[in-house]
Amino acid sequence: MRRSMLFIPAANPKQVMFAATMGADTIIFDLEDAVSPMEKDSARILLRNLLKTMDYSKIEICVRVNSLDSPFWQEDLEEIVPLAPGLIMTPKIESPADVEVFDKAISEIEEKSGLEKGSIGLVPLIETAKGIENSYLVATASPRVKAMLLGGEDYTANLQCKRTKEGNEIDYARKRIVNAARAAGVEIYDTPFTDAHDDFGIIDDAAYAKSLGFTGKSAISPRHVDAINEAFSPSQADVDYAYDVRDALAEGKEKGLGVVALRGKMIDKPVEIRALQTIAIAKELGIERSPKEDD
Amino acid sequence: MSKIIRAASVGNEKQNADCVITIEPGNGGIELDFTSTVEIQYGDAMKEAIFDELSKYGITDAKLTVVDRGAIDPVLRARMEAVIKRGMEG
Amino acid sequence: MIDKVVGSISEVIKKAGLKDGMTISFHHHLRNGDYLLNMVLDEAAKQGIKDLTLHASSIFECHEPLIEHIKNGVVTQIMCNYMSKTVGSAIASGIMEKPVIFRSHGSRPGDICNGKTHIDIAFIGAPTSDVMGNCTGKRGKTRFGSMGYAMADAEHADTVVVITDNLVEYPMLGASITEDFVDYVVEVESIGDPEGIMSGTTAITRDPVRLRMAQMAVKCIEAAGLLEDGMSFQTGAGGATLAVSVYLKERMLKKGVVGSFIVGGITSYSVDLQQSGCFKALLDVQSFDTGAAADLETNPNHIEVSGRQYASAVGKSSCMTRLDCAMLGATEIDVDFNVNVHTDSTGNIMGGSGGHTDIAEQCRMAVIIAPLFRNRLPIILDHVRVISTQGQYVDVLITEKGVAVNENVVKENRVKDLKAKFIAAGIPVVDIHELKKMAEEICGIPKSAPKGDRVVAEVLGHRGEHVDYIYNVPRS
Repeated sequence: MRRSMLFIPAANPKQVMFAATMGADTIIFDLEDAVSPMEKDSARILLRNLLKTMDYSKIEICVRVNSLDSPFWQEDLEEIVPLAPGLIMTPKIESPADVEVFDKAISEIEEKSGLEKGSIGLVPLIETAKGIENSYLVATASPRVKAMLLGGEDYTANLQCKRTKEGNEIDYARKRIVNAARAAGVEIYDTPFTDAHDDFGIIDDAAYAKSLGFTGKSAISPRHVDAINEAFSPSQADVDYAYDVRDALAEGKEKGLGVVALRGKMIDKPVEIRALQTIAIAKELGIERSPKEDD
Repeated sequence: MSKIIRAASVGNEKQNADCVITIEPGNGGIELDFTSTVEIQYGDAMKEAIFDELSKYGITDAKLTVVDRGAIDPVLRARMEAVIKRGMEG
Repeated sequence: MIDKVVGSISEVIKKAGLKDGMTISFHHHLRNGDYLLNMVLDEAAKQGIKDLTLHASSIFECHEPLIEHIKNGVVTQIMCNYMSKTVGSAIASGIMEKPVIFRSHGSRPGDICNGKTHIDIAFIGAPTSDVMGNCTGKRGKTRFGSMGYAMADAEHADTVVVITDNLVEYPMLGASITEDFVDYVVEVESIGDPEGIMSGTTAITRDPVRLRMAQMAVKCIEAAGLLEDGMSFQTGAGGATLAVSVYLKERMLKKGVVGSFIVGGITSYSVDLQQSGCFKALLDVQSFDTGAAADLETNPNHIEVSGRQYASAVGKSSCMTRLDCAMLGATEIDVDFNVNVHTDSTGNIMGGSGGHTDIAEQCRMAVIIAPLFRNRLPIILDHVRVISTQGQYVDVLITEKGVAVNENVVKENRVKDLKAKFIAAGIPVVDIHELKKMAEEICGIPKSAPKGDRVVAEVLGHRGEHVDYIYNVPRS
């Protein structure tokens, strides 16, 4: 389960080294905005070396490469794709054509490096008015697209309005992009809460994003990770359901059943995986199963 | 064999766990000026990594200054690779 | 009528009868802003006095002139609980013939009270004193708060000199050290630099790795069953340990727990915890910042305790006797949980036990918070260079990659079955050898720095017993 996605500047050795200990489910190593044009080369090399040698097995790795309008994105992909990160985040995506360019380039490198084709997921970053309008088309442009992320800062600049803590100006984009993502069957992540010194505003902001249907939320401050994880953690009902699924499967196995159903619904593999993930997270978070009611 | 044709540098001097490396064309050999906060503990290993990176790119003639503040091996090697590539560019 | 007021330090040294071979004592509440120690030693040197034993609770960077006094034979022996790196490196290089004796904040007053260390003249810095020597650290322009570490000196030295930069008329009410112990009072222009007195140690770290370890510490306290009404707590003023206060407050308020006391060096964060209702009392042996010093003056639930009451083993009991848990640091820790806080990895002296060893030995759960490595240097070793606190008193090590539990703790009051309790609470318990391996996989195995064969210091424990020796650093 992916709740929090934390941006880490790829040019900073210490932050990259300690990324796995920040509590975030996914780390987005950033080669784009967090790295000055002069240091794109060194950041890329640094990130590649550290991804190769450090233990990031407990987190999901995503790398934000530079945008199509920059001279850097191809080299970013050349350096990073062969390391098979779970996800590549592509900024300023506005149309299916943008996705296709990245898709093709990644496919070529996958093939060259002997990786399974399509194994690397794409997370288009939607951060313009046009991108929002096209978000359903973007989400369905390639099977590589696993999720989308809303980028509120660039988006409001594009709208020509001010980015506020309350976020009324991004409300339409949030609702629109959640709907598009759900329609396309991909996950959807909310823009970061940008005041790194406000440890409380993040709680409301994350709760609001959760209420709109977001899968999770990104962060630029490690201090916001816990609040995000808490807001997007499974509810008691989710946890109880997950245990019911596990029990039903165990019972079915004992009886030698090929197909197991719970509450009239078949338990397929994704449901099983989801349930086990939920149980694992619940254990980590100390959420216990509700006591069984007497029949 | 490749050549360092211009002076270049890399790394953030204010950052712990990083190192600052400068490279420039040499006078017919490798000249290394090396200082590290962990010289006693890792000096030998670090110098080995530095020469290893130089030989990867076939550099036999360069003047190098390394000021280290506790960079681990992959960081040191990344800085070496970046500075060599910058120094080799026209 | 007795007139205790003396015009200058030079005069008081003569009046008090300072002679070659004597022991003089100082306390460190003025920390890195202290002028006293330098003023007295400069004057003693001027008067040609030699062979002094310096019995100071701590030695800071501002005491660099001490090195000259050692070289010139004015000071030939040092006893202290903490020594920062400039004087420490000089000692490690072997400039002194007699080894430095390192005690703890508990065993120093302990050995003074039981007569093991005799003080000829004690010099006490007082931000406010009356003409008879009733004095306090709570008021005046050089206010530092608690005077806890100076009390044993005042009570047991043959001669007691109060040096103040704010002389007031008799009687000054609410004295911390009273006239019945004081022989002389000297007024000087200033006893310290306010900026150095409140040396900026008490800002909360923003380092996310340290903050995560601090959060983990609160989880450990709760999992150990200590986060309950009546709990008592101690934390240092550095790095991750201080941040524990912030997360502890959050958790205590959420759970509605009211603790008993916080003891030790008191910071603004301790004050905040007390004032938010998380703890009933603050027992203050040293006030670390302006907020703590100001609160000590006005808050009836924030009281000054002597070093002896704080942590010594010679009294009938001490605050430590009732302490539940404490957050401590380490420059090195070994796989047997022995902790070094005296030297850096090359053997240069840059610290000392302070209260570390007293706290660890006495409290129910001593927690060390340290990252796996700092600037490539692994913190966990096979053997620490110097044992400051013995592993048998250290319960838990928290790192960013997991929590190690020491199963060989000998304390009777220890929290039992910590490992099982932590695992049940979902805390990532990792064997300390495994943690060591993780660091070495990232950093490589460090070559150990050469160790000389000359003893430059001896480390004594909570009861004044021998713990370890510190050897010189050979110069190449």
